[in-house]
Amino acid sequence: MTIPDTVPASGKAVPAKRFPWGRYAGIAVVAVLLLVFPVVVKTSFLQTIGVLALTMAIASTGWNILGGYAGQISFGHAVFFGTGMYGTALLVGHGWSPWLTMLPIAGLAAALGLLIGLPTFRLRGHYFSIATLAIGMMVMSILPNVKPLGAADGLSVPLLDNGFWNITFSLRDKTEYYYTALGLFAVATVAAWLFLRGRIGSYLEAIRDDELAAAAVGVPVRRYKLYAVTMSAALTSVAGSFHVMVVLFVDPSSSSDLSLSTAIALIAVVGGAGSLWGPLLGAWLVIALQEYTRTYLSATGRTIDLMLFGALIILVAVVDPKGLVNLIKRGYRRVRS
Amino acid sequence: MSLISVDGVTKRFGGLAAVDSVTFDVEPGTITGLIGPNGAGKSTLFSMIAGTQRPTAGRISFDGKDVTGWQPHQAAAAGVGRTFQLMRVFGSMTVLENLTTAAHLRHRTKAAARAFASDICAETGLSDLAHRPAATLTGATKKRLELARALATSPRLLLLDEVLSGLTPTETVAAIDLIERVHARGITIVLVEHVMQVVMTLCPRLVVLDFGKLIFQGSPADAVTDQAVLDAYLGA
Repeated sequence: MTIPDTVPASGKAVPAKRFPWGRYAGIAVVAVLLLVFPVVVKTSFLQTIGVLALTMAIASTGWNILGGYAGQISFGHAVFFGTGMYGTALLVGHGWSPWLTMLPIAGLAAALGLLIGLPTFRLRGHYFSIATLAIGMMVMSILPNVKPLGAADGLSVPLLDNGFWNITFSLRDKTEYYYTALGLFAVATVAAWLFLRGRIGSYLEAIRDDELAAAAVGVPVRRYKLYAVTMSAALTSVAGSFHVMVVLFVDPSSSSDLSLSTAIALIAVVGGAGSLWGPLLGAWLVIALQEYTRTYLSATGRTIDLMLFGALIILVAVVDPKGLVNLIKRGYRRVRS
Repeated sequence: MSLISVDGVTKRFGGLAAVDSVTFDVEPGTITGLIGPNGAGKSTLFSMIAGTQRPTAGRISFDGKDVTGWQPHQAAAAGVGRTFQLMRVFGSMTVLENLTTAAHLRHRTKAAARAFASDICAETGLSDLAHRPAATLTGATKKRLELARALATSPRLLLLDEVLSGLTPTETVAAIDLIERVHARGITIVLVEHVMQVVMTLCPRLVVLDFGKLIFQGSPADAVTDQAVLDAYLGA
């Protein structure tokens, strides 16, 4: 007996959706804003914010695949970010071009993600979240004892000749770093979009909404969670690889700190978890806030920015749990109709 | 050959046997009503057929193959579609996205899945709501969506868990009509239902459970005169 596959359409047809002008206009406006930013804004401080925001947007895009789409909240993405930082610092020290380190190191981060996911995804519920929290803390306490990674002192990236191939530019102006970050962000977002646009994206959202129902329509839940964690870890690691070329230094606290994990997650949540726009919007807001408070309240700044993060979480929860992007979408719909 | 064979299936939760060595067959192309008082083990039996629960003992075969203890996604892939008693739609997705997700089981590309989902949408009368977020639907429509979503996996067997309860008379008529059209396409149906009139008109064959045990199988006409069934429903 074969599976009946065609349905005689007896009812009314599905009305076509309106052409999403808003989306394309949004992409165009944001692209122009991002492109002209360093042309208009010449202050090094603000350009640095731009570079960091784009870097964190990449990291958070990775987190978003797992946390925003598949609904598996990770509190340990700093581990993958740190994998990128350490891996690239180490290999560049051995004479590699930073670009060439990105994919193999991302592969390593993906394998690490798989390793964490394999046991924890057997269980439903919050086990994965708790495990990521624990693993982040474990790595934080192990790293200062790992000699090849510079132990507590960390690793410095040797100074390379200026040039795109080395991701090393003049420090007088951050424009080149900015555009490199922007290009990388675009590639990461397109990669995420391609990953999510078909069956995988649907299945991950189904898992997030209801695992039992997802399984009932044929989603191999565990396998798809593993796909998600693999892609997620890889993208976040790429952000780390780039970041270490900007700061030229990595140590345990700069790469694997819990607050870094929190920031990666928070950015996506504030911007809009489960939307490709989320990480970009969230990163600019959160990083700008963080850098401003750190600069203007230097001595006390570190705790103030954490308080701000807390306030942001509450604000998102109260105003719109779907984040900034949904707020904008709602506003747009109201204006249109 | 039977489409499903349930052979001596038992499910124990601690000392309680929710399903106690139940044996019955479902022939392809039939509609079978699975009835019984609350707590008789109907939903547990469904869960075991659909793979969400593993039997403590016994054997379940689907299309001649032993599938005891299979995983829910394997059941879906083999052609078992199901609805949930407590509705479990994908709330953040639109109606059409819900159906597209399910259609992806047999349609790899997004375009093909979407086209099939649109057909199902039209067939089940959900077209006007196609772009509505599923979380905003009424209970009756969510039930309809559950049925449509199960259909979108192109099942050979549909397990319907109380898709008619809680509907208004008009909604019930529409739902019965839908089930009959689904059946007319050659899909085998097993349904759990409390609304007796519906069961009597829709199902030529009944399986009755009480306290986990199978107490009757046969036609509705025989069921209403069967002493064991009467005792179960009216109390001995």
